[in-house]
Amino acid sequence: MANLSDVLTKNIRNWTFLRYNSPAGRWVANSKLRTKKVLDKTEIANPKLLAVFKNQKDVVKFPWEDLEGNFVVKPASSSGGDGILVIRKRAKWAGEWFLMNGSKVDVSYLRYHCFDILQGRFNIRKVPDKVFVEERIKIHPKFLRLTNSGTPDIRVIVFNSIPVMSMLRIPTDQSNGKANLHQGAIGLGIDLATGITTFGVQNNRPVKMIYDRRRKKMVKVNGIKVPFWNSILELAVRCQNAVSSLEFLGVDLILDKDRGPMVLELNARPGLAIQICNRAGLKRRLDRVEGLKVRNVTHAIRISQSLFGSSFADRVKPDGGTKALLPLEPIRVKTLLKKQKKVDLIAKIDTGAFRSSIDEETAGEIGLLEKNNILYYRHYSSSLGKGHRRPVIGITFWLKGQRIASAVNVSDRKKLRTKFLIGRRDLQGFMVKLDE
Amino acid sequence: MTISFFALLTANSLIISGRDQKSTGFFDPIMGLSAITLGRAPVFAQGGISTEPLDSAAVGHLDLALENQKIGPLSPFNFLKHAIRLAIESGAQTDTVVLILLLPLVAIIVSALYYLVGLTGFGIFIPAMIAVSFLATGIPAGLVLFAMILLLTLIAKNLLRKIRLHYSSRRAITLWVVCLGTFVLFFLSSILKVFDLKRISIFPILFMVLLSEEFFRFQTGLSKKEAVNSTVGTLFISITGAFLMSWSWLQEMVLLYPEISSLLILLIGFAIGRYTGFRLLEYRRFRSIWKK
Repeated sequence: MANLSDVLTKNIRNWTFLRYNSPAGRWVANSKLRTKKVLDKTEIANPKLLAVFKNQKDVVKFPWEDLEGNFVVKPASSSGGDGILVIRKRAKWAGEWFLMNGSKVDVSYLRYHCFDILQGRFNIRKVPDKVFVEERIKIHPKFLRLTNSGTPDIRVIVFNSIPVMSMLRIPTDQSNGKANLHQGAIGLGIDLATGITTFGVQNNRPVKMIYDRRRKKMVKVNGIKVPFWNSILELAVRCQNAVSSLEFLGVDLILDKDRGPMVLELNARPGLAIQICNRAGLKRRLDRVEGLKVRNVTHAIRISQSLFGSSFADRVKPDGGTKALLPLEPIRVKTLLKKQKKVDLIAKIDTGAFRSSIDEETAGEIGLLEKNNILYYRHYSSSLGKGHRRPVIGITFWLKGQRIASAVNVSDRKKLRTKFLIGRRDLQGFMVKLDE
Repeated sequence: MTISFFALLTANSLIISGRDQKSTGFFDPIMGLSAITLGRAPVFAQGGISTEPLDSAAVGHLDLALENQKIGPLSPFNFLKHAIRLAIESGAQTDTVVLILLLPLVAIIVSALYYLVGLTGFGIFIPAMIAVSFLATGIPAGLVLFAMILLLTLIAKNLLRKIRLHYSSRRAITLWVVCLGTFVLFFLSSILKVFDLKRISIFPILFMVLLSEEFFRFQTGLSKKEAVNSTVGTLFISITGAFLMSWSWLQEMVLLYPEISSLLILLIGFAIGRYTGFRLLEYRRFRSIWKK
C-alpha cells in the first residue's frame, strides 16, 4: 500500500512536474491537429485525417455526400470530448447518416455543427477553432462489452520516456459517452507488467464491479487483460520521443478492432485520479525514474515493467492460502537465451534485504546481463564499507508457482552457496517458515 | 501616486449617481444579512457600487477615524496614507478607497481556499466580483438575483437548444431573456416589497449576467455534481468575501494602516503561492490509496 507522501497532489503536479513541459510542447498537445501532424511525421499510428476546415467556406465546399459513414467530426482544441460527433453509417439516402445512438443527421446538421466549432463553442477558451474530420475507430470487442456508449481508451502516463502508470477509461451513461474521469467515466488501473486491470474508480471512489453487456451481469473490474499491451506501451514511449518537450505526458490510446492500438491525443496536464484506480502513488514512481538514462524504447518498457509491475500479492488468499516458504527455495528463472528458456536455481529467502539480488556470473550465463536488460546502475556500500557500482536488471521468475516480474541487483555471490537471494520486495503475500 | 489618484477618481465617477434616497433604518430588512449579523449600519451594503449616496452616519465612522489619525510629513512609511487623504479631499468616496484596498484580500482568500482547501470555484475574479455585487445589493437580495439570473440562463439555453441558431446569436438571445426577466423581479419586488430596487443597480446585474455565462461555460466539461459543487463553492467564497469587506474593523485597519496591511496581504499571497503540500479535500479524495 502506498504512503501519504507517495501520492502526487495537484499542488506538487503543478509546481514540480508541469515545469517539465515547455510551452512548445503544450502548444502541440493543445491542438489535436498539431498532435496529428507530429504523430504522422514520426509514423505513430493514429486515426486517418479526412478533412480540415479552417473557415465556413471550407465547410460548405466539402463534398459531404461522398462520405460513406464511419467518421468523426472534432474540434481541434476541446477538452473532455466536447463537440465530438461520431457518425456510424450512411442512412438510406445520400447525405444522411446515423449517429452512434441511432439518431439520424443530415448534411445541414453537420454543417451547423462545424460552424459552431469554428465560432469556438466547444473550445476551451471559447475562441474560434478549427474543425477536422477523421475516420472512426472500430472498438475492440473486448472493450465494446464494457460500455453502452462512447469509446473506451487507455491512458498511459509517461515520464522521462518511461511509462509510469496506466489505466483503462470506460465511458458510462453518467459521463455521456465521454472517457473523462471527472465526468463520471470508470477508470481501471492496469498493471504495467502484464496489461491486466487491477482496481477501479468512479467519481473518485473505488468501484469493484462493472457491467458486462455480453454476459449481462456485473463482473469484477480486476483481471481484464488489455490486448496488444506491449505495443501500447511502445506507442506511448514513442509519443514522448516525438514530442520531447513534453516530459510529463499523458498519452490517450484506443484499440482498433483490426489495426490495433492508435494514439488519439496527448495530454500535457494528466489528471490525478489514475492513482486511485491503481492504488499507488504517482509521486514515488516519478521520483524513481527521474534522471534514469533510457537507451531505447525496449529498455524503457523493461524498466517500467520491472519497477512498477504489480506483485499481485492480493491474489494470494490471506486465510490458509498464504504460501509458506522455507529459508531455501527452488525457483525457476526466465532466461534471455534462445536455446534454453528457463533455468532452475536455489534461492535464499532474506527478509533483511529489500531488493533481490543475483550472482553476476550466473546472470551473465543466462543472458540477463544483455545491454537492454540492464535498467540502471546503482551505488551500494557493502558491510565492509567498500563502494560498489552494481547494475540493476529486469528479471522474471517463478516462486512456488507464482510469477514474479521484478528488478534485482547484480552482485558477486561467487563464493556463496546460493546464487539468488530474494528480498522483501518480491516476497509480498508469502510467509517464511523456519521448519517443515 | 498620480496614477493611483487618477484611478480612484475614475472609479468614483463611475459609481456616483444623482439619485436620492432617505437613509435606511438600523434593522431595515433590506440592509442585508451582513448588517444584521455584525450589528451595525452597513456602509457598503448601502453604498459600494450601488447608485445611491452613502448614509451620512455610516460614512462617519471611517471618516472620523481618518480625521482622528495623525500622520506626519510625507515619508516612505506613510505615502499611502497621504495618497488616500489626497484622493478623499479631491472627492473620492471613502468606501471606494476601502474597497480598492480590500479587493486583493478577497482574491487572496479565494486563492487560499483553492490551494489549501481544494475548493474549486470559477477562478479568482468572479468570486471577488460577486462579493462586491453582494455588498451592493445585500446578501439575501444578491442570492435571489443570482439564482434568478442563473435560472433564466438555464431556461433560455434549454429553449434555444431545440432551435438551430448560430452560437454567438444564441448567446445574445440568452442575454435578452435574462435582461427582460430582470423586469419580472422588479415587478415582483414592487408588489411584495422584498427588496429595495434602488440598490439593485446595473453593475450587480451585469456582473451576474457575466457570471451566469461563465457558469455555463465552466459547466461544459464538468459533471453535474462538479458544476453544483463549484457553484456552491463560489457562492460560499463570495459571501465570505462580502462579509469580510463589510467588516468595519477590517475597513478601518486597511484605511488607517494601508502600508502594513498591503504588505501583509502580499506576504500571505506569496506564502500561499509557495505551498506544495496536500489540499485539505485531497486527503479525502486519495484516501483509498493508502487505506486498506
